[in-house]
Amino acid sequence: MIALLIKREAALVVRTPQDWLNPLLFFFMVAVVFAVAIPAQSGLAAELAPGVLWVILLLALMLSLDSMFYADIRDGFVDQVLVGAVLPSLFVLLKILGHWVKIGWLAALFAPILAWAYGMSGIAVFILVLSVWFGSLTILAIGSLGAALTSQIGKGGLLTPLLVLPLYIPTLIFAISSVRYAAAGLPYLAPLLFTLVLALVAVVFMPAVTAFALKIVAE
Amino acid sequence: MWQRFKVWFHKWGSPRWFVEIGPGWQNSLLVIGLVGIAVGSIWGLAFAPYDFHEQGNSARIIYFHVPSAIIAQSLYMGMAIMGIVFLVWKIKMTIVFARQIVLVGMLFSALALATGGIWGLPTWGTMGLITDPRIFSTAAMFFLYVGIWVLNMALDDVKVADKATAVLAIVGSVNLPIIKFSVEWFNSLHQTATFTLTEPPKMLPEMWLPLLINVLAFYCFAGGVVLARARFEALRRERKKSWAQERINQLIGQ
Repeated sequence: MIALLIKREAALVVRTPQDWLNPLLFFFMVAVVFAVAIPAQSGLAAELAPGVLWVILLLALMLSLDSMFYADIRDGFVDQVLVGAVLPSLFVLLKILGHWVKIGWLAALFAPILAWAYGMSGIAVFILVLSVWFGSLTILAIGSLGAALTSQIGKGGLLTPLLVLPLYIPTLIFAISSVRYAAAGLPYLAPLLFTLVLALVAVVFMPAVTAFALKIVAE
Repeated sequence: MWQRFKVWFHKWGSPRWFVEIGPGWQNSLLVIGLVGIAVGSIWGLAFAPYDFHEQGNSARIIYFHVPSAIIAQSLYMGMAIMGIVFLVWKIKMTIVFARQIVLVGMLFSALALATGGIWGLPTWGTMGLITDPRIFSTAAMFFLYVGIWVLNMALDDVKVADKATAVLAIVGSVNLPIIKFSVEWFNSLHQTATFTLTEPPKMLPEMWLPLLINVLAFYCFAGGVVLARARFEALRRERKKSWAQERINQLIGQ
């Protein structure tokens, strides 16, 4: 059963490329456009890069949240899950992990290009990749709750970020400060590990909460 | 004694009993609250000693800032606890309380942020208020209230909105310890807690006594407002029942 669900997620990655391509393109475009706001040759770009790239990534991930359950609710798959075909929290967990693999991993893979363009160098770029890798999991796990709660509302688009954005503050703090510490040559391991801890805690608890939320709105 | 208390406590779960008993509680809390706020504020603003050490008269905004911040957090905690009780034991009055807390808590956290900003701007200088951990964690609480409020507006079905409110309130309560300990964990300009359970405040009694009065009075006032809102909401939800019909007719004077 789990293998079938994983196979289904893999098929969705191939057949609906817009789900993971659009957030990535958004990530790149906004990062490039944001460079206009930074005075040229001021050296500010490298200093601001961790925060700027992380906030843009957060926006891109939040825009991708709506696609998490949308198609599955439309074609009745979520209803099938809720009547007992699969354990609902397992379904949500696989959804989160699927989103993480197709958006989070790719974002982490391409983040160095933007980091170098912003003038970052050395170990900080590597730490940025790791923080994006861990942090995007937290963001998608917590965001799944917002996606589930707004899944039955026609125009959920702007509502989802409003619900979950306040919950992202700890992740943002630890992720950004780990990159910043690495860039400044300070010990960066503690905030980086905190980012990982938040991801693990979120991925343990949120599937059950989100499954409950899906059940609520389906009634 | 314990048995009688238990019976009395369980009665709060009944909308009918609550609507009947509500006005008494609500009015006495509101009166105590307003009188207390008047006493505490006048004492604090006009008669409490001047802060000679550092901040002068601008420190007097503490008499509004600390109570509103405490109330906003307490209301959030109350909302989350009500949410848990509602989801676990399905007691319908609890979610009525929780959903009526949202707007009140939102206003109190806005008041805490506004007074904090008015206080912080001249005393901290141009350090950038929003980068302070205590301030953005409180702002996060404000936005959690806003999020629940906005979600309530978007969901038409009362039953769905009830449960969604409960879930979101419970998940958002992870923010409360972050607010509480932000001044200790992070590098914050914000001062530490004024009142703790274990130690007396590090101020003159003439300074903290009016503050304590205001904190307690704000509690009573917020409680009274929530009770008043919850009473009408309970009446609205039970409007199909005959006792509620009678009560409504009585209220609109027929």
